[in-house]
Amino acid sequence: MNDRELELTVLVSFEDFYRYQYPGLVAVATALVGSTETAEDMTQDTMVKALVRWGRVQRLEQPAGWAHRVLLNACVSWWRRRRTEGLYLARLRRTEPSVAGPSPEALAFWAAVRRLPERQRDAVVLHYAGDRPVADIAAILGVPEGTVRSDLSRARAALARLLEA
Amino acid sequence: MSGDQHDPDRDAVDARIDALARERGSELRRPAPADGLAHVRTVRRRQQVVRTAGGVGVIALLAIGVNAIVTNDDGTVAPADSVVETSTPGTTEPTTTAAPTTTPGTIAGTTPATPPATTPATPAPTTTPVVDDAPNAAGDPSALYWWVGTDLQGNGDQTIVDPVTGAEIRTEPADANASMQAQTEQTARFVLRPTIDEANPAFSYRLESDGIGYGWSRRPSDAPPLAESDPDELALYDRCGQSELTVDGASSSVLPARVRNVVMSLDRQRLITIGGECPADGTLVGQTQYVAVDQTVQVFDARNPGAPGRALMTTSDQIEATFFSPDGRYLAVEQFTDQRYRVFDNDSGAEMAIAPEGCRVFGGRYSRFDGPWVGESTLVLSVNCPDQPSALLMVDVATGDQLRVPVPAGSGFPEVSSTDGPFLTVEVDVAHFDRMSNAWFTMCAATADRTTCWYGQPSREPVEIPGALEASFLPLGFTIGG
Repeated sequence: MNDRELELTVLVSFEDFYRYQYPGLVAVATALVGSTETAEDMTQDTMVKALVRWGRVQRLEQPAGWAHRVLLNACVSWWRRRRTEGLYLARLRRTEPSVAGPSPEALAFWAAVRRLPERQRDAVVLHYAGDRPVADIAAILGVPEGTVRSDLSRARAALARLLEA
Repeated sequence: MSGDQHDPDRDAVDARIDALARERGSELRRPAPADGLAHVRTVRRRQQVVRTAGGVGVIALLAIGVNAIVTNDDGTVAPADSVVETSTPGTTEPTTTAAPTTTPGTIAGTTPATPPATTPATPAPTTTPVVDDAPNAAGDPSALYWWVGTDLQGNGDQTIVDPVTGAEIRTEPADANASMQAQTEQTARFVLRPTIDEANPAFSYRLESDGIGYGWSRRPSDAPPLAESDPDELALYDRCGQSELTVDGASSSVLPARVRNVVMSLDRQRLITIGGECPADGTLVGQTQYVAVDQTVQVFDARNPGAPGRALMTTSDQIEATFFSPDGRYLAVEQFTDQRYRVFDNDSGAEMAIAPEGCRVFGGRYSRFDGPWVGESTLVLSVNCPDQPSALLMVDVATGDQLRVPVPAGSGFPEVSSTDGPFLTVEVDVAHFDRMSNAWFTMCAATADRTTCWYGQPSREPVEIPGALEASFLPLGFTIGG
């Protein structure tokens, strides 16, 4: 086996990347946008972007980190668009959702998370929804690991106050 | 309390929240859908579409765009000095326009798109600083405000500042609703919004021109919902998300029968439709889901819907936004996947080159919702070019004049264009805009852990705004998400 063949054998296939990273990505998106269906759409869009650039993304040190960063940006854009479109779109109200989603307690918890400062919010979402370790979060957000731990600690304290308010 | 001392109560709370967060997080994680991977691959294939149309060469426009994106990712950019660069037509050699987009044959009721003529050259920016001693004829902005809150939903304090003197006027809690109202009132000067019948279950839109009415729905009125979704989201429908277009008050109409959207120029003389042919078996679409149908943008005479229109572009990408220039002569189209803008001359059908080859042009701060236009025919955009820092770019499409304001040197802002979207958000004070050289602007550059904002005029050095996450001019009063 030559060097090129060896290199290719250790590269993650997109199929494996998709199946392994999807749960964490959709959880992060759900935590940030509060809607299961929107989160699934945004996760799919992120995966399309990953596939478009797969030749480069799969060679990154952390392909999953790249995908989470893309998803975080997309969630922020979604919030901006949603607030403006709210002037022009009707919300169809139903008595009960037809698709099972997070529990009311979970929705309330993540709504509180969304009130945190941006970096604390991102750290909490990536760690607890995305199940990312501190080292990965540090790479995704471009900050030292100690900063991530500090942000998580402060976030937990803030959430304790928010949830008990 | 020193770092070696532990508060048992605090530790208990921390552990409790940690456990709760883990539980709440695990609730959100779901396995990938069975058909999800196939869907991703289908979307990817559509982005590599190759079009041919009788006698015209093969074009892989989107593939070229994707390749350009990949190339830029690996490029390095040398820092540049913070100078304001302007250029006027006729100072450089002519350049060719962007690769034209062919249409899939003649669309019924339209004339074929005119092969784009060579548009006025896109001049390469010079490095001659602009010194503008003339006062702003429209007056300096009444105030500038910046927002320092960190809440994603726009809650926080905003500081009002006199941009001329730098004096702080007051600090107050941000009011997102008032901000959005101010935004709507201000941009109504440049964008013609349809009237909306919210009482109609089909949620209808309507535009009128010279006694002729154009009506369409947010969702197809004659198609039953195929799947319901969360109460806060629109239901999914068949027919590629298109609805019937009705025309009343006219003796004839050649407009397409089904559309995704209709946009009218401010003077109500021109109208564009966005739509395409749906697959026979229909396609499930949602609010943010990729639309698996080619969309064509066509321009018509709004006062005479029986006259043939002109196809401007066809794309397999989702069209994010379209806006007429205030003078109605040009159309700016933002595509979804790469968020880049394309501009067309509605009279000739020619695509206008608004940035040098290899550069990526993105909208300004709120251009996706309120349009990128200011004045009569000036675009406010951000641009990423290889080997150059990101910059605010103003382009008068009618004259070809350009003004480019790079991110100040030494800002620590990464100067490599990103394929994930622009890091630079820009805004021009539309309320007091009279000409580019006088325009007040703001721009914010973001890295993973910080945001830096500046404001200024072309004749002044950009002034950094400490701690701001966004900066806008009153009476616009934008806040994040507004």
